[in-house]
Amino acid sequence: MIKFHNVSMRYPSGYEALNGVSFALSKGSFYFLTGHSGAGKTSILKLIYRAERPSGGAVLIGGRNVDQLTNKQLPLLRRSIGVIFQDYKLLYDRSVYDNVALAMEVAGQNPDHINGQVLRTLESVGLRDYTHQNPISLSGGEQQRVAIARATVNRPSLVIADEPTGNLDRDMGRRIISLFQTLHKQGTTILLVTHDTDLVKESGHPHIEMVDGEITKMPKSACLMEDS
Amino acid sequence: MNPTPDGFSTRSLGGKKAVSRKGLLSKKTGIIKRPSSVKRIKATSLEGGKDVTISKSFQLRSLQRAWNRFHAGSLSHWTTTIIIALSLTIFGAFTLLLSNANTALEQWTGDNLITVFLEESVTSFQMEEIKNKISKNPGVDQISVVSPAIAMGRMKNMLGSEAGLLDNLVENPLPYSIEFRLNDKEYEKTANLAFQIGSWLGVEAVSYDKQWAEKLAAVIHTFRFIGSVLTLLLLTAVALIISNTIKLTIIARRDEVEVMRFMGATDSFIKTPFIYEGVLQGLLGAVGALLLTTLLYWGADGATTELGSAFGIFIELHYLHYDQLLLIMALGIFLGLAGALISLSRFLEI
Ligand SMILES: Nc1ncnc2c1ncn2[C@@H]1O[C@H](COP(=O)(O)OP(=O)(O)O)[C@@H](O)[C@H]1O
Ligand SMILES: [Mg+2]
Repeated sequence: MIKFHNVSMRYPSGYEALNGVSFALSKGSFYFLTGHSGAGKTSILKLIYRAERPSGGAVLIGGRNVDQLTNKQLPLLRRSIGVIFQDYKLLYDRSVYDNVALAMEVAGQNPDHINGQVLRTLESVGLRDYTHQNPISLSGGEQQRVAIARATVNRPSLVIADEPTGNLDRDMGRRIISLFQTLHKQGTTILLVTHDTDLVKESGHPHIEMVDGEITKMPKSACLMEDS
Repeated sequence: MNPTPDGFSTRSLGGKKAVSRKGLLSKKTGIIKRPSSVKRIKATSLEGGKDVTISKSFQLRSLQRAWNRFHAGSLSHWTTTIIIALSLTIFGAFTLLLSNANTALEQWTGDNLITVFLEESVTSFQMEEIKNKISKNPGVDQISVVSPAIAMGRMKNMLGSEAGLLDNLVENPLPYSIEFRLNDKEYEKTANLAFQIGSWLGVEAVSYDKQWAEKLAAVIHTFRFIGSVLTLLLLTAVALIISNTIKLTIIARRDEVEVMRFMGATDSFIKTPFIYEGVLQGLLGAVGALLLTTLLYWGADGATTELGSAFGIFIELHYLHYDQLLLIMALGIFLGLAGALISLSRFLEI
C-alpha cells in the first residue's frame, strides 16, 4: 500500500527533513509513526498525499510512484487517501455538515448520495447532533472528529492522521483511537502519527520510530524487502 | 464496542456493525466491500479509483457556488460590477452616437442632388451642351435646367412670410442652373464628378449635399478613432479590476482551495467557480450598462427631437441594434472571463 524507497526530502530552505527513509506498509495494516518534534513525521505524511515531493528516492502508493502522477491522476490518488491534518484545516465559514459534504463534492460523488452518507459518517463519530453548528464552536476533540468524518466520508482505502490525539486528554485520545480501530476493522489501512508512546503500547499496533529524519526502529513487517 | 459514556457511536463508519476483515476485503479487486446501505457511495480505493464521474450538474453547482459567493460577497464584487457597467456604458454611448451619425450620413446620401450653377454669359446652346455632357455620366438621373425665375420662386417659398424682402429686387440676380441626381451613393464619386464639372467652361460653381456629408464623415472617423482608443483603454482597465477582485477572492479562499486540493479536487472543480464569478460580474455589469445606455438614449432622443423641431426638422435617434446589444453583453462576459483567467494563472498554483 505504502512504500518508501530510500526517500530523502529537502525543504526549499535547504533543510534536509528526511534522509534515506525506507519502509513498506501492507494493505489493511495499522501503524503508528512516532518520534520527537521535528523528526520528520509530518514530512512523511506530506509525501504520501503529495503535498511535497521527494528530493531523492521514490514514494509508491498503491504501486504507483506518486512523483510520476499526471495532473489528472493526482486528484485520484488524493481521493483515495483520507488525510487528517494536525491543525484540522476545517473551514470555519460553514457548518460541520458542509465541511464533511465538501469532501464528497470534491470527489464528484452523486449529489443524491451526499446527504445520507454525510449524516451516517457524522453519526459514526458521534457528531450527529452537531450537524448544523459551526466547527468553531466545538471543542478540540469534537473538531478532531469532524476532521475524521471529513477524511473518511468517501471511504478511502488509506487514512493518515497527524497527531490526532495531540491536543486531547487521555480519555478523548482513546476514543479517537477507537474510531481508527473501527475503520481498520473495516479494511482501511491506517497510519497514525503520535508522540504518545503509552497510547501506542495500549493499542497493541506496531510503530515506526523516527529520529532526526531517519527511521531508527521498526518491526520486521514494515521493512522494505530488497526485491520489492 | 460498547456505547461509551458520551454517546459515541459504536457503529462502523458504514452504518453497520463492523464485520471481520475477511468479509470486507475482496481478494480479487482489493476493494473494500461495503454494507448494502452505502453501496451507492463510490469507494475511493487506490486500485478502483479510476472511475471519476464528474456529476452532470457540476457546471450548475459551480455556478451556484459562484453566485453564493457573489451574493454574500464583499463590497468589491459590487464595486467591480458598477465599474464594468459604467465603462460599458461609455462604450454603449459611443456606439449609439456613431451609429446614429452613420445612419444620418447614409440617409442624406439617398437624396444625392447636385446643382451646377452656370455663368451669366452662358448661351442656351452651351447650356444644352453641358446638360448633354453631364447626362453621359453613369448614374445621372432626373436632370433638368432651373431657370432664374423658378429658382426665385423656390427661394420665395423657402422664405415663407419673409418672401416680401425679395419684392424690392429690380432684377433677378439668380443664375441658370442644372440640377441632377446621382444614383451612385459613394461620395468619392460624387465629389470627383462635381470637381470635374466645376472645371468646365461656362460653369460657375457646383454644389452638392455631399459636401457636408464629407465633413460629417471626417468627424465620424475622428470620433470612431477616439472611441476605439478610449474603449480599448477602458476595457483593459476593467479586465485588470476584475482580475484584482478575483485575486482578492482567491486570497480570501486560500485555505479552502488548499483543503480542496488535498482532498483531491480537480483543477476545474477549483477554478470553475472563480471563472463563473468573473463572468457573473461581467454579465451583471453589461446588463447595468444596457440599462444606463437605454436611459441615455431616451434622454438624448428627447433632446434632439426638441432641438430638431426648433429648426423645423424631424430628428429621431435610433436605439442600439440587436448585434450592438449582443456585442456589449459579449464584451462584459469576455472581460469577466479574461479577468478571472488572468488572476487564476497568477495567483492559484495547483
Ligand atoms: N515548510 C518547511 N520549510 C522548511 N523546513 C521545514 C518545513 N516544514 C518542516 N520543516 C522542518 O523539517 C523538519 C521536520 O519537520 P516535520 O516533518 O514537520 O516534523 P514533525 O512532524 O516530526 O514534528 C523540522 O526540523 C522542521 O523545522
Ligand atoms: Mg508534525
